[in-house]
Amino acid sequence: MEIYTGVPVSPGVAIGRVFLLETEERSVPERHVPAAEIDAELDRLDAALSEAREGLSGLLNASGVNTEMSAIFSTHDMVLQDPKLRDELVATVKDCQVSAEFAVARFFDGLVERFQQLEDQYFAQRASDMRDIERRVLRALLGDRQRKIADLSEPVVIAAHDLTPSQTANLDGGRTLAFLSEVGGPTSHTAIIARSMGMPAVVGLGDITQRLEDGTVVIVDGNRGQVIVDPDPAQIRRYEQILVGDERRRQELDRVRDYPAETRDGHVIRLMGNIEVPSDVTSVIEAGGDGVGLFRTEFLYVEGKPPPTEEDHVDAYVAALRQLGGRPLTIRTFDFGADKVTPDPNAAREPNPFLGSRSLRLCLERPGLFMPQLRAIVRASGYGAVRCLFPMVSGLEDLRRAKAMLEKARVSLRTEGHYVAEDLPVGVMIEIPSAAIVSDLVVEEVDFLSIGTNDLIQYTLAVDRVNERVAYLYQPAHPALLRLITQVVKAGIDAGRPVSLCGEMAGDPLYTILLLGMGLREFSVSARAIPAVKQVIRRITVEQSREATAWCATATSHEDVLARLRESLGELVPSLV
Amino acid sequence: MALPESGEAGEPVADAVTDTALQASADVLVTNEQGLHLRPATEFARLAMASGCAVRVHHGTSNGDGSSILELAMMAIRPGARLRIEATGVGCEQAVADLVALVKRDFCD
Repeated sequence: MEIYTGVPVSPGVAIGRVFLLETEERSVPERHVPAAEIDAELDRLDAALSEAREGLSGLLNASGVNTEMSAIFSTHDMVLQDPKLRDELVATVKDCQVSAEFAVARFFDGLVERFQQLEDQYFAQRASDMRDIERRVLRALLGDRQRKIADLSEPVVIAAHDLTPSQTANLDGGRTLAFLSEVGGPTSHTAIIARSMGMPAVVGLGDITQRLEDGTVVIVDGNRGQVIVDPDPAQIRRYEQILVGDERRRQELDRVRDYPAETRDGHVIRLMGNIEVPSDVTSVIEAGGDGVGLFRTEFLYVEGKPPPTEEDHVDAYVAALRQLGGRPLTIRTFDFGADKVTPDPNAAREPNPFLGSRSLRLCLERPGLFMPQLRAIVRASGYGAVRCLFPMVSGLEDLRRAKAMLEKARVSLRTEGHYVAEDLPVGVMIEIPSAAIVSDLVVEEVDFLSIGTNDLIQYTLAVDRVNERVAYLYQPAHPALLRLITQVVKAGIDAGRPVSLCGEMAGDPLYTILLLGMGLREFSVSARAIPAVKQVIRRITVEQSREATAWCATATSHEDVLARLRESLGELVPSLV
Repeated sequence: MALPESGEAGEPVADAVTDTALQASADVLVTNEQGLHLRPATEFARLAMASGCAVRVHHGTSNGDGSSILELAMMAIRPGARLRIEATGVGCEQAVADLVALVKRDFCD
C-alpha cells in the first residue's frame, strides 16, 4: 500500500484496476508484460511496424510529394524494414518482459546516442529522423493500446503522464472509472475531460506511473486528491461505503431533477450549468439546468497548435446552442494565463503571473487572438440566446475597451451582411476586488454581473490556494468575502440587473442558504452540483435564508459562519451534510 | 568475424570477383560526395535485401549487415573508403556485381 497525493480536479471516488496510457511525446515508462502475454505483445509489435510502414507508403503515394521528401520517407521505410531493428526489439520484449512501447523507446534512445557519438555532423543531425520514425511506431502501438480498452472485461482507471486531446477524444465513458496523471493542474486537458465525463480525477501525481502496472488496484479519491496504490482490505471497505453513499445520494437527487428550482415560498431561482466543451450541455440539461451560466472557451485553444479561427469558435458556440433549445448560453471570452494554458509559451515568464497579463488583459493586447472570438460570439447570437461575459475586469477602463472591441466586431459583421441579433447581453465577471468595490459603477454599463468566487477569494485574501503552506487561509466564508459578495449582489439588485455566481462556492450546497439570503437569484454550477443545490433551494424559504445570512453577517470568523451554515443545512437536507 | 585481406592503400581497386561455390566478394571504392549516408545506405540496403543473399560489408576493422541500413550507417563510411562487399547464397555473384555497380555510380538510380 502506498498513498500518492496530487491535485483533486474532478470529485468522486473510484476503486479499480489501472490501465496505463502512454504518450509518444515523452519517455515511455517501463511497463512489465507477463510471460503469458509475450507472444501477444510481439504480435502487437509486428502490427505496429506494418502500420507505421503503411503510413509511410501513404505519404509516399500522396500527391505533391517531391523527390526530397520521398527520399526521406523511403529511408524511414528502410529503417522500419531493417532486420536488426526487429531482432533487437523482439529480444528486448522477450528477455526483459517489457511492453513493445518500452522496447521501441529504448532502441531508439540507444540509436540516437550512437549516432551522436559518430564523429560526423551529418549523423548527429539524423537523430531527428530517428525520433520521427520512433514516434511513428509508438503512435501505432498507442492507438492499438487505446482500442484495447474496449475489449477489457471491466472498466478501468486510466493512468497517464498526461492525456492529450487526441487520446481523450476516443475514450469511452462506459469503460472508464477515473483518471490520474503525473502532470497538470485544474485546467489541464485531463481535468477538463474528467469533469466533463463526470469521472473522479487526480493530477500532479509526480512519477506515479513508475509504480503502476496494468491491473494494479488503486483507489482514486477525487475529493481529497489522493491515490492509494494496492490498498489494504480495510481501505477498500471504507471506500466501498463511500461509493454506496454517493450512489444513494445521487438517486435521491435524481428525483428533484424534473422539478423547478423554486423556494418553498415561490421564489424562482435560475440554476444554470458551467461547461467546458459544447457536449457538456447534455449533462447540464439532464441534471435539470436552466441554461449555461459559464461556457469556458479555453478548450478551443490547443497548445502547440495555431489559435482557433473565427469558424472554429462559431462551430463550438452553435453546437452548444443547438442542444440548449432556447436556453441561454453565457460565453466567457478567453481566460488564459496564470494557472491556465497560455497561447504564448515563448513569452517571457512573468515574475507574478496572477497579477500579470492574463485573461482579458492578454486578449486586449492581442486583437489577433481576441477579434475572431468576439466576431464569433456576435455571429452566434443569431442562433440563440447568447450572452457575452468578460473575465478579469478590474474596473470601467478595461470594460470599456473590451466593449469597444465587441462593438467594432458587431459593426463590421453588419456591414459584411451577417445577421446579428439586436440584443446581445454583455456581462462582466466580478473576480477582482476592485471591480467588486466599484460594482455599482460597473453594473451601469453592462447587462449582468457574474461573480467568480475562485479568483475573488484568492485576490481578496491574497492566498494562492494551491500553495499548501497558505491554503488554509483560502476561506470562502471569510467575513471580508461575505461583505464583498453582498455588496455586489446589492449593486445588481439596486440597478435592476441580474447577478449570478459561478465559482465553486455556488456549487457547494452549504453556501446556497447564505447566497440566497444575500439576494442572489442566479447560480451557475457544474452539472453534477445542480441537483444538490436545487434540493436546498426547494426546501427553504427566502425568509429562512435571510435569517441565516443576517446571523452570518455578524460572525467574526469563517468557522462561526460554517458552523451556522452546517446547522441550517442539516435541518433542511440532512443527507447533504 | 575475420576480415578478408584487402589491398594496400593506394593500390588500384580491382573488381576481382572471388567465386567459391555460393560465396562471392569484391572490393570497391566509395566515390560519392557524402559517403555512405542514410540516403545511399537506403539504396544499398534495398538492393542487398532484394538480392536474397546474405550480404556483409567490410570496412577497415568494422563490418556490418548489408541489408541493415542502421548497421551501414553506424559504420560511418566516408568518401574514399574502400569496401569489401561479400555475398553468400544463390545468385551471390550477381548480387556482388549489382552492389559494386551501385557504389560505382555513386548510388544514383
